[in-house]
Amino acid sequence: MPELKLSGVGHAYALKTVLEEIELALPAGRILALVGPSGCGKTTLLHLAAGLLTLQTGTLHNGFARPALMFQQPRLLPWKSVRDNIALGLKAGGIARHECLARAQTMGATVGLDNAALDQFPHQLSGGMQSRAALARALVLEPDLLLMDEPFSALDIGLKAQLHRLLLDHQAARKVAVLMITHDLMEAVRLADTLLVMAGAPGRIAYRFDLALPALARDDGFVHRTTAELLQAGVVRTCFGLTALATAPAATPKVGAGGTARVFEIANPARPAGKKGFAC
Amino acid sequence: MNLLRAWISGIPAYLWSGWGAIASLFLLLAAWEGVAAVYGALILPDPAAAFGRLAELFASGAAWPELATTARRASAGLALAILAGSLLGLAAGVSLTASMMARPIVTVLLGTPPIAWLVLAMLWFGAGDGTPVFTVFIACFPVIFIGALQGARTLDHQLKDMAAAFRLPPRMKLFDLYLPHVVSYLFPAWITALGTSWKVVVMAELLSSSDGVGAALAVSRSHLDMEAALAWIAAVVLTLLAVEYLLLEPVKREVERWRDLDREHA
Repeated sequence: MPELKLSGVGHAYALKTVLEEIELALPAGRILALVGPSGCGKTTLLHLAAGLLTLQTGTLHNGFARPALMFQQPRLLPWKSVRDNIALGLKAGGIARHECLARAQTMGATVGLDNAALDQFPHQLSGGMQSRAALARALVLEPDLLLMDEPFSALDIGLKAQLHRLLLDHQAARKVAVLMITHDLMEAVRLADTLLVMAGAPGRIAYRFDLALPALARDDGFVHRTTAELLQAGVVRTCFGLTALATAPAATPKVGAGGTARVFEIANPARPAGKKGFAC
Repeated sequence: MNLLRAWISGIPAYLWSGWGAIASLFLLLAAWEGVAAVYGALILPDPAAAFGRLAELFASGAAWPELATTARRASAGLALAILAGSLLGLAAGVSLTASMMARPIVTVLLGTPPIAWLVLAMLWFGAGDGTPVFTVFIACFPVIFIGALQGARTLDHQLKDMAAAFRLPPRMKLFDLYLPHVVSYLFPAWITALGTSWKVVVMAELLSSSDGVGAALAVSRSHLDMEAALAWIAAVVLTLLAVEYLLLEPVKREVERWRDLDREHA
């Protein structure tokens, strides 16, 4: 079974270390969410996994054959119609033009873009429609690994919920492995099988949280409850720079909704003795 | 082929939209007529006389060979400049080092007056086609080079990352990513260069050649023939207007359709 595996991965821009000792494994068909404050190196980690940055330290093994990437912004080519934009990755794969366009059409319809919208240029669409197009451009490749960099962060909650649904339906049908990055804890709880909380400066994985309940079976109540419980955890609060709770927090959150969540505290978010400058 | 069809089918609507431009040109003619009426035909013949003389020149067949010679020289120089300027400019724009090195050189080229190049060219190439062609080339090259360089430099690096993530092959990167973006910088540069090429070629011919519109202007000057001089000037300007507004502008509109739609939307 293919797998994305990072071990001991670190990265530095010039003298500034942004990632340190990252360990993670993503098997096929799982959704892994990396949650952390802005600037903690999440995007760098994703770009490393996507091969857009050269690995500096550690090892990275990507066993997936067809990875696709969704960026924080839609990043559609402004001079191509939405239809051609969705077909871009297929065209790059050397697939005949009419086949590309037919598949783009089908995928466009799946994400809720009608013919009129597909014929327009990206600038003529609203932000939400552009995000749909970007999602379709990634999904039309039928990836076995989907890397997502806060793709829904600029959308309102209604649109966000719709796109979550589209993503989960596609994921359930095709068993795609998803590595998503977000600073929105609730989004992570809604979508992910496994949640990794990152601490910043330099970015490390500080906390792991597994959810047993399938994402499609989670309702709003479960998501709200679990998010609230996660936010009780001292480690998570430190990572996001929240002040400690007045009442002594439970070391690990209570298991939510009838034993569906398991918690692993990976390491203390405070850096090992001898290294100074810990700030989350 | 699509581009050609769009160009031809767009011409009627485009011509219709030109009434405003024609109206303002007629205002200019009216001002010319006014000045001619005040100062008399010796200083400035009126437009009717100038255009009458132009029609005569065409009817007698004297105008065509001169215009063709001038057009040949201007387009040869311009074609060379477009080819070299676009390619070198793009190449320089892709590399940061090359663009930093090229900028001061291009500034020097831009700052050197064409008349200085003309003097050098007359010494190097003599009285043949070489002198005007070279002068046109050297006057147009930096303009196009800068356009291409800016185009290649300003491409959004987010889109480059996207292209890398979707594994676009080099050919697709060129045609789907670089060229559409660069064209919106190149086209205005080409149009500017076209105007420059006509101005410079006439100047070069006036001083160095025995044929072409520039030479004809020199002859009419020595004969103090204001009507003929104005007729030749009108011929050059009208040719330039025709090429720019009938050929380049419609093509530019088609190529940059996405940008216009964007503007309407905003």
